[in-house]
Amino acid sequence: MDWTPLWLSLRVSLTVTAVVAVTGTAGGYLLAKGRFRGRGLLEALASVPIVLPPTVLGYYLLVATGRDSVIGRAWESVVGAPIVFTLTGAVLAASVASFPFCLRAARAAIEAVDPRLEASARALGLPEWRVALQVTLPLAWRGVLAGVALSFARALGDFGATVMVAGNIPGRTQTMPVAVYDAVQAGDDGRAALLALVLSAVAVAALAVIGRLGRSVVP
Amino acid sequence: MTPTPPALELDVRHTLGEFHLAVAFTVPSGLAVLTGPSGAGKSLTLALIAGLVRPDHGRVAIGGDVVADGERGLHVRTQDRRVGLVFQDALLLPHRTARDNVALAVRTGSRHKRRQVALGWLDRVGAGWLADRRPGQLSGGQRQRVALARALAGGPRLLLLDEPFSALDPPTRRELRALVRSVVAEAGVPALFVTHDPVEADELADVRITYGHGRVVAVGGGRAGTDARLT
Repeated sequence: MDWTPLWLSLRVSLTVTAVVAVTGTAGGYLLAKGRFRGRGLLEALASVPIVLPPTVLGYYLLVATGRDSVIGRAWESVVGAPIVFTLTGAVLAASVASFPFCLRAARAAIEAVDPRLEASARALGLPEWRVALQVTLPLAWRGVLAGVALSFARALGDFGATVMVAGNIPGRTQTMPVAVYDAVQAGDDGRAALLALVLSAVAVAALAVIGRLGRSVVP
Repeated sequence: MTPTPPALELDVRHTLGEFHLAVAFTVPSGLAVLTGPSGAGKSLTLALIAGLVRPDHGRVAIGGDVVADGERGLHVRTQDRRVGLVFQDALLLPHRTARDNVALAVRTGSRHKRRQVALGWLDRVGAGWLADRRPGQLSGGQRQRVALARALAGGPRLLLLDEPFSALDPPTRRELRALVRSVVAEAGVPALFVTHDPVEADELADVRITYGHGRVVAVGGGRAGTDARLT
């Protein structure tokens, strides 16, 4: 049994989780607290990946970052390897697909923090960045974590966007969901069932761990 | 000897929906009590002084420094006004111990030093023995003691207390009123104390300012005089 798809999936989804946890939380903070022009537009734009069919999202990403695109060329000239049909492409696709989940959860959690707690911290003289890091985010932590967990699940399960951008190259870009599809197509029912079970177990286990993390914090 | 500037000078007008606030008074020093019925604009006044709300018109000066001036568009950030705030609910950070809540307010020094200073303030309000507890493990009165220590630890020029003890039982309130009096006197920090309890007002006030629907209706002295003006 070849377990490469499992390692690739874990590598991609953990990288995506790290990227999205930081960018999604920062973005959620900006949307919750920022008062600037174009905020509504930005918010709508950031949520588009939720409503787009994954293959369509993947198609746009493929066009935007392909080897002949501006972004694709710039990336290739700096890094020396293309984005598309590599693991980088898989990370990109899953990141864009799962970003809005973290963003929306973080935004809601940050908005739910009692503004008087932040006001009294300001009165103590804390600059805005310390209010954010020492008051707002610790208080919003459970909601943010829930968003990160959703993002991880979304990244682990992504099929459509990943196949479009990273393709289905066994041993290189073939992640678990793609491998399940591949096994079914090849008529290898045993392999398909086993992969499906393992993927389910990983997803449930990860959510259980994150759920426990959330509970362990004293209110 | 140069005369000390008044602790607080206020002359503001502000509209919030249907509610109009137009008040002017001066607190020379000591403990001023602001009373009046609910909805008279007491809390809004504190928010204007603390810089949580920007006044439409008029000015606010703390210890002689103008911190807000509607006409000049001046608005000093809450962070830079050096006021200590205590609300009805203590608003302590639930994820930090009492000591770390207070340490957050100490402005200078290493982490160790700040925690030491914090403990000193907790001792002064009689809550030193609670230093390592989290807010969830404290009673209402204990939380207010910690909140008072935190407000004082920042070295405020003015302490603002918004009905800080109204959720507590009478014996605890009496105890904490006595504590506020002594701590404010010891630390030499002027304070503006909002309450709708006449007993509390009588017991605490050096200066007593009474509000009625967005206006100052009476200014009376306890111990100290006042040059407060009526609008």
